[in-house]
Amino acid sequence: MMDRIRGSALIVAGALTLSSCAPYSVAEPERHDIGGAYSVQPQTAWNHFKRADHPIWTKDGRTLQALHFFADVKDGQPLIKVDGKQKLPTFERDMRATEVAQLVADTLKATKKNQVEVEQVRPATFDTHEGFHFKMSFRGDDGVAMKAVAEGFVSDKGRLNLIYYEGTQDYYHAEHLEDAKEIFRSVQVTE
Amino acid sequence: MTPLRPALAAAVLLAAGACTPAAEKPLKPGQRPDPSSDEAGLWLQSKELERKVRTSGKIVEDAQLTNYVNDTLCRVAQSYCGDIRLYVVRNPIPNAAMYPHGMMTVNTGMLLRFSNEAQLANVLGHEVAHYRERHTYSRIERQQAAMAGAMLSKLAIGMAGVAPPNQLINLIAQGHVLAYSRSQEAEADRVGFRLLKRARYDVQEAAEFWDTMIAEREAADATTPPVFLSTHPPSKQRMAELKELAREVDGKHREEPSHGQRYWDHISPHVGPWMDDAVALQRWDRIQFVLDRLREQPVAPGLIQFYQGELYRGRDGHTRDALQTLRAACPKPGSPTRCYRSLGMVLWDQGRKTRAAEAFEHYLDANPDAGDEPMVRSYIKDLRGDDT
Repeated sequence: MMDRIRGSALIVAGALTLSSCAPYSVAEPERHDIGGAYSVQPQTAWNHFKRADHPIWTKDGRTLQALHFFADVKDGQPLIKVDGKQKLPTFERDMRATEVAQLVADTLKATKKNQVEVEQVRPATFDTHEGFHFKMSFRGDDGVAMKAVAEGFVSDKGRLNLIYYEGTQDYYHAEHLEDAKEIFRSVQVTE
Repeated sequence: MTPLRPALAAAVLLAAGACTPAAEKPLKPGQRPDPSSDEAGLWLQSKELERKVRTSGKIVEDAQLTNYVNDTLCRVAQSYCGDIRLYVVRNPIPNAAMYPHGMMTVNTGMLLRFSNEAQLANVLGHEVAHYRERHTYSRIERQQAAMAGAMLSKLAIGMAGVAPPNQLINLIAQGHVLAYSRSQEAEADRVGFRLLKRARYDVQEAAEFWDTMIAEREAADATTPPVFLSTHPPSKQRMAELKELAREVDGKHREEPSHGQRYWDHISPHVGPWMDDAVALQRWDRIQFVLDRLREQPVAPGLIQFYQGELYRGRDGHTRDALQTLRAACPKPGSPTRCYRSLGMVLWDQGRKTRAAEAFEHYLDANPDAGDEPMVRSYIKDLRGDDT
């Protein structure tokens, strides 16, 4: 009887472990395809959180710091998908850099982030494409001060490709900012 | 005692409470629930929610504004003033809420919709009434009553399968329990009305405000009515009762001030950032409604016209309207200097490159330290076709 209970407990524990780890895998330091639009090569391993709309990588946990990869966002689409009737700001194919930065800021506001500020927008290359770089600050829905940096470009087909890195202003943003910049520099757009 | 104990005690008492009559007596000023009561457990959990609100980064910390709103609260709440902590929450959704232990929140989206201080005072008084009459607690108590029998049996066999207060507090946070019953709303209207009258405000503003909320509901997308209306459902009967109450008061009270100027002296400096929050939601019908109302208030016309231009810029098929509106707005006092950046974008969309470059230059002249200066400079370079 005790063996049966022990066996069942092990099965349950195993199932719980598996299910709790299911959305995560390891993004090894090798080239990774992002939605068929571009690829990146991290220098170190990241934890890969699988989300239906876009991949997220993190070192220490998504609420502490996270890299979001957006690939081929089409005209009229929001950056992320949320449950229910909530309407999120949408990308438009003729958006320019400052407007894309505002789209990200508005998306943060619409998802309950506060005190969102776009602090810098400047031209940057995304692989060989003319793109942009921007910095933001905001407070998370728990009030924690956050910083973010992003690079991206709008393709000739009018699709947005964007890598967005955010982390807590205290410690976690700075801790892996250089790793994130390495990833920005490693971008190769899929032609 | 660990925090868990009162929670458990409250859970048990909530179940047992179904066997006792609902809280009928209003709270007296300064009154706290008996520490051993189920109501005390609810307050404890509600206080935890307040701690989260305070540290959320959503609270508007402008001292002038918060002092003003709190002064208005105290004018209507009078002896209950010390029992209520009011937070102005940076949120474009029009809403106000009262929590059982005395936390009141008013969203910035609500403040944008009042015409004057009397309308603010009316809503604050209405919410004070919910506190005084213990409406949330009564409602929870009634909801718990239906479950009580089953819960007690479960407790008896050692399975504490009760809805614990933290679950209840989740319901409160989600607004389910804050949806008051019709009789509670009528009672809060009557008490709020008396408070408004005693504080010597124009009592006719009570019905005026509800008229406005109903008008917004009719103007906006019907699938997303204002949240405040879902927790405070208006009805023709309710409107009639408020108007009747206003008719009953003597002429002297009907001549009391509504304090429009004083209200807008405090609200006007915040209209820009709060409208930015509203624009981010892209609910264009709602934004149009708010802008139409703001036009009737002492708010800088240049600012309102700028947001009208932004609304046209966001809406499909309104590029020409956006151009006309922004062109008129940008030189006006009160219009933000980024108006010229928006104007540059619209001109660029229309292929008017020289004009667009001029508008961007105007923006940078006024904002030499703008964070997007390098990007806007690159726009100008593209538009001028200058590779040097």
